[in-house]
Amino acid sequence: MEHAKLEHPAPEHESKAHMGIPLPNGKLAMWLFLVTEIMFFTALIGVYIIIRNGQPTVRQPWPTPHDVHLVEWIGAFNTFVLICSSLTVVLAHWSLHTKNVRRAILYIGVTLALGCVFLVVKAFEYNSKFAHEILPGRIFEKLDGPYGAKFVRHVAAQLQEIEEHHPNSKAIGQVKKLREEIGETFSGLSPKQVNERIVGPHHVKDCDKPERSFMTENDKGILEIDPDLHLSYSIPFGNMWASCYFAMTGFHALHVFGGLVVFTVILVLAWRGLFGVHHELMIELTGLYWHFVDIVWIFLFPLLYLV
Amino acid sequence: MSVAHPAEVHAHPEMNFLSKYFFSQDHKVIGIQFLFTSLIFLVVGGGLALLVRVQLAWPHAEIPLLSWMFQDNGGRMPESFYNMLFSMHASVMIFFVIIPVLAGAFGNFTIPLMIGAKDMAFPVLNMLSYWFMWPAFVLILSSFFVEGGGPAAGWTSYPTLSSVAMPAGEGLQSPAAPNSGHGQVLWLLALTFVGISSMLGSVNYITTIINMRAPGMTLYRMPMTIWAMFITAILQAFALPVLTVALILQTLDKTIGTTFFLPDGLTFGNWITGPGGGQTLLWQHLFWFYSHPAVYIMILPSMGMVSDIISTFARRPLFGYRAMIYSIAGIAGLGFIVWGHHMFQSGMDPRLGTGFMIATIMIALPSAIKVFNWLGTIFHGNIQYTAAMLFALGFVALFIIGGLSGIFMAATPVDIFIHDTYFIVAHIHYVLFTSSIFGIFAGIYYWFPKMFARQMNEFWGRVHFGLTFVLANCVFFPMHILGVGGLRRRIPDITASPREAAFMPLNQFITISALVLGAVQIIFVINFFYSLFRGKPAGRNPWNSNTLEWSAPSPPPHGNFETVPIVFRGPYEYVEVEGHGDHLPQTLKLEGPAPTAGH
Amino acid sequence: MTDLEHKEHAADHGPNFQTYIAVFIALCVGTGLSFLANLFLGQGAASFWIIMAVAVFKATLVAMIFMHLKFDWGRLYCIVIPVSVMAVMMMIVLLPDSVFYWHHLHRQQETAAESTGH
Repeated sequence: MEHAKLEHPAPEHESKAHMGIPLPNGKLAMWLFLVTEIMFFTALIGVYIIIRNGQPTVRQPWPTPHDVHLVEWIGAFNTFVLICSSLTVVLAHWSLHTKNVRRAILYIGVTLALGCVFLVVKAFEYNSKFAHEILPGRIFEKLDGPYGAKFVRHVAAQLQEIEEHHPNSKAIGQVKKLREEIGETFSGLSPKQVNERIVGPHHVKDCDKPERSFMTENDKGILEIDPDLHLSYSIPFGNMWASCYFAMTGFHALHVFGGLVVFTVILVLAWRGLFGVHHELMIELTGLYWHFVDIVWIFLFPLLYLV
Repeated sequence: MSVAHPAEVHAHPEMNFLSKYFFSQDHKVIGIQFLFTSLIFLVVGGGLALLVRVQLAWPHAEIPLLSWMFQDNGGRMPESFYNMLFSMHASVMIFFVIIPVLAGAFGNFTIPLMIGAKDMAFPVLNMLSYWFMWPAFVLILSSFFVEGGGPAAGWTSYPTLSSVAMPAGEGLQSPAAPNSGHGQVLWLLALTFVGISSMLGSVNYITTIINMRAPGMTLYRMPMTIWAMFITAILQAFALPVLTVALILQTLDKTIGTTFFLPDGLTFGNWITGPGGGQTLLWQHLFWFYSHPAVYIMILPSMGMVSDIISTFARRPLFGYRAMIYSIAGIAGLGFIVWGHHMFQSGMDPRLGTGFMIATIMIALPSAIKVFNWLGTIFHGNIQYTAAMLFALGFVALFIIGGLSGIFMAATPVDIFIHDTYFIVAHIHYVLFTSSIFGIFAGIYYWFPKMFARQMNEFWGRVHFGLTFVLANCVFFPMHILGVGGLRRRIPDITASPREAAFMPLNQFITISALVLGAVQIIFVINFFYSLFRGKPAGRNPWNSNTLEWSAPSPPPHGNFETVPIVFRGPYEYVEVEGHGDHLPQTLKLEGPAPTAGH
Repeated sequence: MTDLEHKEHAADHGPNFQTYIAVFIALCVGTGLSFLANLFLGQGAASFWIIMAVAVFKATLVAMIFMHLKFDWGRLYCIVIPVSVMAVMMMIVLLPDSVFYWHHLHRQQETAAESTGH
């Protein structure tokens, strides 16, 4: 049973003892915010990891980077850009800590520039996805049934476009031939055969192999001859891939953009002469956020591009 | 943050009406803003519930008030409308009433006052946390009025019903998913805003509680209300982001054609989902990963407040203070590993089911410890049966029932039988209405004098309690019987099945009780608003309570305390001391040897 | 802002310029290593473990040094450890329904296909 104990009235210095941990409110709050962000990206990345490891099989595999126009070295370059920006932002904090305000502002400016480079490269990557229609809900997979018929019609329209606007393509002969074979009623070839003609026998996935193939080992697919043509082809789990890719990199890019907004605010403060050594905590907290964004990309890059 | 100068007068330029009452950064004003908007939504949610009950009791009759909407159906509500009613009733009650009142209103109001701080750590963030709720309010209310009506896939919004995308060019609704159009997207966005508001708030609360306590206010001298708010804030910070992800992914599924939760090749009438190979069970896992901690978010603050109220009005120290803290922590910790008990019937791996069952049954332990400790607190107490105390005692009594029905459901073999029956509905409402909301009523009666410097009418408060207590049991207890008898939930017409039609008399009894229960709440509304303007003026400490907020003026000014409070003892020193009555406030400095309580 | 300074002094001084540069170089080397592992070893088990180990190493470096966690650990472990546990736990619990179930299903389908001689 609890006794009503009177605790000693604290001696003068003790009653004014500070409660709490020796961490500024802002820093504690930023770490708590990062905790919520960790859970956010864990859920997002977790969804990707388990979907990717769950349903695909050997016959019907998860798309390779090549299938979806993902270029590894561009991702690696972006990783390098973010790493540099992490360095510059921590050096900005270090500069302020050593009372060099001008150098700190310079480093923040470089960080902002690097962040912009990251987003520009990302925009370039997204553009290649848009151009090839690698978008959620727009990718053809599963060529049986109604999907297959849609696929053939779509390809026929694309072939017509190529004939009209890219007559000098290396693969123009194959293009014309395929269009003829498909025919006016789109039923000259099965969807899987059309697909094989486009990607070539070496790149066809097991689940997309046509029952009767007219191509031999030495034949080349249209896209093997001229990879720049805009022709759709079956990408098993392509829609799932695109869904995950755009969700993950999209939210990461939004977070990068948020960081850039803060850097811009800091630079505006500096431009108006209001920035000084007393902003050290603010730079530290911004740096914490930015490092977190970098850590997320450190995981996103291998998970999406490499493994 | 720093030590205040005595008699610190906050020399603000005079604030205009907007910045003082609308865009206020004062935690008390923000708390009261949360309270008022949530009480409005309580009326909305309650109204939806009454419509549900009316349909259940008289399924073939015209719907009162709304029959003009359904002229081509003979004035009766279509099934999709019924689905929308119960979906929105739950969504509004959970996300727009209970969580904002407990975390937003009471959390905001009590935390700085009870720990002796001038305000929250980040007042601007606090204000933003409130204003982020307004887009949510607009979105959720507008979902009723868009084409296709409000969302009707349950508050749990399971795919594939909820996630079927709106095919472009084929009209706004796919034929098999009525009410799964724009309204569903608005619901998803509304909840995302609620989540952001809660996350901002929880960061603020945790920082404030850790770093801004008054001198002498060690962690183990904090009142249970604060411990509960603290642990609730941690729950929100950890669990909400996962819900946010789930909501966003479902929004993407519905708008831009992703297929996270849509398996391929499903046909709905003439419409077929595209290829993609998503997983419907994934939504359930992500959703319940948050929504199970959410139910603890909805009960723990009430538990904390009830602890303080019971101690005050029994004039006795809280029995087992540390055990109470560790129990709350235990409930919260275990609460993170039990979400699968909502999914026993979903087809998930049975081995996971076993794990979830064991963890769920374990949660009964800390909950029981709390109940015993409340009873231990009252034992031999000098009980004052104020309205606040009555609701607090009602909480304890009826939480026992809600908790016990939970144990039935925790056992997978039993749950297989009672899942999706009224037994679950009974459990939900015992823990949410007769526990959480009773706690909210208790808190309102208790802190009303501090908020508004007037007291609510005690007589009518007791009448409110008595009628609500009896009627709530009339409404929700029979649901246990209905559930075990096999009455399914979420169906609009129980006479369609002869087996279930036999339950109609009990069903009608419930509805009539519910209608009266709804009417009785008018007493509370009148009492509340009348007392705001004409209530008996209250001093600083009308309840003779120990905690810090009662040493501040009523209502506390900007900055809360005239001087920085210094804390000398815990919050539950309700003991007879020579010259000091029967309680020792936390800030009271005593000279001389320590008095001991005789027990 | 006396107690702010008080809190700052309580914190450790932190790394110096050389440490930051050293970490930066390590991060670049790690990135290059991952890229090369993928280039030469393709997408297999060996490259997977190398690449993920490098990723964890890089993240740890950024967190410990750039984010000052090594020096603030005593004040922050209470929130960093639970969230790490929770993050890992959540992914593990999702495995049976989203991963193992499908593997099991595919194995079943394969044996069924074999036995009917497809």
